[in-house]
Amino acid sequence: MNATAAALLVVMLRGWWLQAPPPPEIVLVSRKAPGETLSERVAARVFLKERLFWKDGSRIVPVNLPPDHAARQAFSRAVLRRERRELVAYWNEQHFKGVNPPVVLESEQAVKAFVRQVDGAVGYIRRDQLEPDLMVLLVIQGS
Amino acid sequence: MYRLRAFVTLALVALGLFAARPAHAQSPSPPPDGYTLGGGLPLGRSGVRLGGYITVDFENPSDERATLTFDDASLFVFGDLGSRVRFFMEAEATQFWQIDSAGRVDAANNGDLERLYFDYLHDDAFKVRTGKFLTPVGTWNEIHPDPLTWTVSRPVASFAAFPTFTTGIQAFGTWAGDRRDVDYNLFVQHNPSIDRSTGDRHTEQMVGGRVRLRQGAWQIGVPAVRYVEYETREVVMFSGADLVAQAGRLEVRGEATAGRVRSSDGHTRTEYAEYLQGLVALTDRLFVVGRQERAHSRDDLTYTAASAGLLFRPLPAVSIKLEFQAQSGRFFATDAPKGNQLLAGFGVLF
Repeated sequence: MNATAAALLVVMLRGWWLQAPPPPEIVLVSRKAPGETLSERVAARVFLKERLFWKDGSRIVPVNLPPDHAARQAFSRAVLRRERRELVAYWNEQHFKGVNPPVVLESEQAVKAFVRQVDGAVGYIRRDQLEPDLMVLLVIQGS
Repeated sequence: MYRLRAFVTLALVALGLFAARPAHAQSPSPPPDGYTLGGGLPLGRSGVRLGGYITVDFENPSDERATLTFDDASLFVFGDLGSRVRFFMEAEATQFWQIDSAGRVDAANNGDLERLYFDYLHDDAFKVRTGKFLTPVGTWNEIHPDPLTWTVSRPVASFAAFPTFTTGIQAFGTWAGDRRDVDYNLFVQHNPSIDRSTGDRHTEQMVGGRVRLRQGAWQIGVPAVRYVEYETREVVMFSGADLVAQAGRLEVRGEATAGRVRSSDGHTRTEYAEYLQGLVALTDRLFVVGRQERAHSRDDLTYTAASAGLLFRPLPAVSIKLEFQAQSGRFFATDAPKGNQLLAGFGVLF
């Protein structure tokens, strides 16, 4: 009995120590977003390619981080509200309709460089990666 | 010859739209992604992507020989031409190789041009599609390939009442609200079809539209269509409704159409078709599906079917299906009366 209780205690303590870290705070950034801030709902429409244009008529170019990146996972859960498998299924359907998913860039540095260079580009990074020349469109507390 | 003329016309229209794009609509050049199953193969930095799907079906009707059919081999090419024009082309070989339980092999060259269109994207609320496209009625028709559907059989209501392809022009778009979105499609055909071999109904004159309301995990659509059946010159007018609702691991999906068919002698008949389908996700990869259908055709024929099946998706782009379907009656006069059947299917979107 004592051994069982001790084992249970070890399991509980181990679970407490190994608790996942809180999801990172994410910011949606762009070089310019003509007269716009984005709600989470609009951001979701942008990254699902349901919304294609900024208010000034220029094309939105959303960019993703790799599927395993912590910022991508936090963004998908908090904004897209879909698990990875659901998103793959969604993009398979879009593929049949001729719609490509957002381009994937390998790092937050690459996202920042892309957003600086490409008109209409929008991407997400962890807040601690933010630099002053980037405009923040939305702050997302990961869930 | 007609196909060539149609293609050249469409290409010229697209080039005109491309040339007329606003000056600020410059195309950025993001780096290409790699190949993923179900996501297609990007062709370098061209913005063009290759994709397609294949399906193999096994059918074992109670009163006929069992058959194994290489049902579809589809290849599509699509991409962006700048930031406001995109194109899509799909060519398909259907039922091109079949073997039955007696060992009889049937091979046929059933190649057709499924889709060929250009989109001009003015803004999110107004886009124009010209060419040959899937008729925007219901939910099944626009996303119909086996790897993306739930059963081997396709419900009658999703294809039998209307031409599933339109060669013409379509305006479409979305009005996004704070909580819900409204999609609309308006389409018209007033010309011969590009490759009339596709679909069960054919027309050269059709006008129609659909409005769809989407909010959270549910959507409801209402179509209205008028067309002249090419072969019989009958005038068909129908409306209907489609519904998709999801809650947790459950999904309910249904479509219904009901209309009037007026023949050239003025005689009018009614036609309807409907199905209701339920889906339960047992795991992320394994689903149970059940569906009830009934229909009454313009030929005064009645069809009913009940399906129960399993869908296994080892990967999101791969489907393995098993289905038992109890049927009675028929919808098309050219069909033999239906009986029960066991169906199985394998499909890959690539």
